[in-house]
Amino acid sequence: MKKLYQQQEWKEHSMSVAQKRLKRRKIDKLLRQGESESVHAPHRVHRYDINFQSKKQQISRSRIESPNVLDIVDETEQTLFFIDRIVAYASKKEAVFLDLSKVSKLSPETLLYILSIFDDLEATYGYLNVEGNMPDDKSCRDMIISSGFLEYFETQIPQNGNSDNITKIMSDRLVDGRFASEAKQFAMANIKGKSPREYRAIYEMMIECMSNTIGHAYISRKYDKGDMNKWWFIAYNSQTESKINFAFLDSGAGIAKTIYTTHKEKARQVMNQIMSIMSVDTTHQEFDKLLILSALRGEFRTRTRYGYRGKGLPKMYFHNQNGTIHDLKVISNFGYVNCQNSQAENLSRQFKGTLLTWSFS
Amino acid sequence: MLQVTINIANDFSKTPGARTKKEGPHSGQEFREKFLEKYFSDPSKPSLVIILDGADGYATSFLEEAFGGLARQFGRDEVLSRIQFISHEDSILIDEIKGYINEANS
Repeated sequence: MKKLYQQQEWKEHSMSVAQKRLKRRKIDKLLRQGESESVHAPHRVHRYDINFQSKKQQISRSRIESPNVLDIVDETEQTLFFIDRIVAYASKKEAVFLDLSKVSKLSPETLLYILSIFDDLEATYGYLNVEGNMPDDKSCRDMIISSGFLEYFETQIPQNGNSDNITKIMSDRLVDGRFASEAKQFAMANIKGKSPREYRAIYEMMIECMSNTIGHAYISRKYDKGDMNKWWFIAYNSQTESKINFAFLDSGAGIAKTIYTTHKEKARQVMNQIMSIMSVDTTHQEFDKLLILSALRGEFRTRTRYGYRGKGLPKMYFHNQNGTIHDLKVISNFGYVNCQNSQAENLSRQFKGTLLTWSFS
Repeated sequence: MLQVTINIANDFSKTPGARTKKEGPHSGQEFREKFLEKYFSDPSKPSLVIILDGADGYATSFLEEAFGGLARQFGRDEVLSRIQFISHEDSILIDEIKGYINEANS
């Protein structure tokens, strides 16, 4: 009997897989070459079927009303619940209408998360049919326009809302110092009188974040989305305090799934996954926050197992501990870690990817 | 003894990137290959003066791959004896780099 790999069918299948892989590599390479030319994101605008002002099509769509507060950092559970509802409809390829009219508090971090989720949905299902309206609240509306969020959608709303208080949303698939430089310039323009060393910390934070995304977040095959392997970034001036906030996001596997874990920890992770499938109770997910804390503290969590690697997250933690930056928060999978007060919490819903936020004052 | 001065901001990039070339432009690997290795392979064994001032910042991965990577190739003692660092803006940076060189084989 012929062995499987010697059969004609297997050979044809192998050839087909190899050709597809080669084609994707070529496309990836072309995209990478093209994208490194320019600094300002978005490099590739994904225009979803969305019109924030359309009224006539609302009837045929599943309407999802937003809560008053959409803040993925301060109201994480509520915001995740809202976004999970979008995902649930979109994954069934249903047309959705997002009613944002009642939103009175909207954080820029939430906009990043929505964009990454939409990208994710498009990568997974190849199709996304979402419409929505704008918040009635003027400050939320202004923030949406100034952030460049609408540039990712088809819309009639004028998008000439540049502001000194907020950067445009940046996104890319590479580590590029020019983005980090832009973040540093924003810090220098808004917070005066700091030392060169302190401003440089902003640059370093950005490079570390981009590097972690490219090097680790999408490393597993399950989370590798080809040209959708992106990071997202925004910086903005706090309205109430004299500080600026930074947010960096990727929609990869999450810290707990990409760092080194012992066999015992791996077994526990598998148990947790089984339990999450079998029950709605997520208290067993407390493991994620412990792994995030451990990675931040530099407890030899590098996947590479080289002692000279895995210094990025500990350096960020160090910048926070020595007061160069403040309020470093990490949200990833089911873990929420606030480095400022060393608090770590469990989330009842999964955050898809990793969000790092910090402030500078 | 021949001495070569390399100003990273002027000669390489004001915006140094991450560790490897595949991660993006101006990586530590690129800097090591283009600027450091050729002088370390030179039989005349020139000493190097690296000026760190003027760049927007340095990520740990850039510094580790450039200088730690060099130490993995040519040996810790050789690297420490032939490179002199200058940083008027941030003297702690020099200690940090020396730390990466010392721990290069860990």
